[in-house]
Amino acid sequence: MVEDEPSLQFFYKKLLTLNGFEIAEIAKNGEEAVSMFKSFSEKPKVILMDHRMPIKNGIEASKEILQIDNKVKIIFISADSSIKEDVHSIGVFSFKDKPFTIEHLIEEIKKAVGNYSSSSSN
Amino acid sequence: MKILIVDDKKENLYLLKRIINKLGHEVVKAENGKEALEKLHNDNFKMIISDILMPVMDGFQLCIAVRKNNKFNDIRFIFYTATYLEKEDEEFALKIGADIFLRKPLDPTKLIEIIKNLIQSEEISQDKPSKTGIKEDKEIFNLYSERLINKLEKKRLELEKTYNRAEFYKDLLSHDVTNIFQSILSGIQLIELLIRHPEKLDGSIKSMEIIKEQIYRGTNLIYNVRKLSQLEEGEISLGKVDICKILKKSIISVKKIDSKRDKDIQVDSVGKELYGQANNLLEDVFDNILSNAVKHNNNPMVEIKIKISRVQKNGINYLKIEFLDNGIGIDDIKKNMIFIKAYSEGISVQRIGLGLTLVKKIIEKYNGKIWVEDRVKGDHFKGSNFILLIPEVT
Repeated sequence: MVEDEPSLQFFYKKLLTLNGFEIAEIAKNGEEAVSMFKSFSEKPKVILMDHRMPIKNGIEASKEILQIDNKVKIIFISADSSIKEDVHSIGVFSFKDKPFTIEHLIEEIKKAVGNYSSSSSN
Repeated sequence: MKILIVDDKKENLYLLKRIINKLGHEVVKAENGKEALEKLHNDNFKMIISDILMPVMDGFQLCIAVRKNNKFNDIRFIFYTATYLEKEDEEFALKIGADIFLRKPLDPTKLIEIIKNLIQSEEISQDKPSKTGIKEDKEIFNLYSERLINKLEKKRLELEKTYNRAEFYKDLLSHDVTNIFQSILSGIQLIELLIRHPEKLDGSIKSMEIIKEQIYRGTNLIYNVRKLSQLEEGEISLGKVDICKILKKSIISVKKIDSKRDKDIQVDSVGKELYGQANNLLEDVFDNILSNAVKHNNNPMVEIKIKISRVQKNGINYLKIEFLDNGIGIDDIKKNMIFIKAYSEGISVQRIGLGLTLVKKIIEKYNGKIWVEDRVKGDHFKGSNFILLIPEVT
């Protein structure tokens, strides 16, 4: 989970854990996300990616992560729908408009996991 | 490689410099075409990225001057503009010898890609396109340029102001407010889920606390937006204001924030009766700075030292008010960014936020200054020192 807003980190984590998902790690900016992703021995299947964050934004971080492993499913979360086209062009799994309900997010994660192929590109 | 960037807005130069530095190139800044030409003669540049509408000498005139001088034949010229957006402007720019014409705002990643490509094409191509200069009659161009500048100069400030304000409020709505809604919605959903598990009461209580906090955050945002738009819309009246009295009031109110935490706030002032050219909004300034010092502080004991002294700059007497705190501090990159909202450039400084944008606007209306330094020079982890200069009235 990549999110700089502490309250959202808390809620997403609680809501997803209570619904049976495991949060591998929480990164508070894009740079942290990329270095965390590199360090995972077992890569997470899905990444929830915010866009506007300090140091490195979601688009830059997603590009770098997809270069390391283009099979990982990134669910891009942003209130800024003007970047939707750019986000899709870099190859993320889907784009989620804020605000959304947890049911919708879970549905999206399930779709992503269903499509996940465990073989890594590199 | 050395790149010359030309823009009359300091914040644009700052952001552009940061983007280009990422590519590992050296950047030199100029604030108008004339300054750029002077720098071009004294150095060896490979690329110019220039705004068009600038005082003294605009980007078109700069481009023409560059293309007329054989010495600068190999320099790549990029226009990066927010005001000349029409197709005809682009055609004219290319006609006078620009390599690329870009419209603002552009996603930083796109800009980086374009610069990279231009550099690469320069390196690959052995047979560089020679810039033959302008064949058109100089007088025709001068008339064209004059007409455009006359037409646009009058509208420039007004248009830019309107555009920036619209962008600013659009940004607030799309980012800050939606985040607040998202938090509240998620919080309610979590409570709904936890209601079925009384043993997990802690989670519900925390959710409610966060929801309340988000509502205060939203209310505060509305308050700040209202004050900001008042400041932007018109002139405000200034008068003789008792600095110590207002400061005392703000200290009392900041002590109420996070009341369980110990706070040691000390004032070291050059005098008891000090007056500044200001108004009642000074209270907002002090409130914001002091509450940030408490909120962005992880120590059990919040320590704030306020130093008031007199300084003279350019013949003007100022009251210098320093707020030294033992908070989490602000790193060097953020020091320059905390007073401005720069979301559209992909850089978020929302954590410290709109409050300081308001503070800066107020201080500017007083013809004062505000900036931030490390409390302990070179070690930002030891806290910050917010420094204000307010014109003194005797």
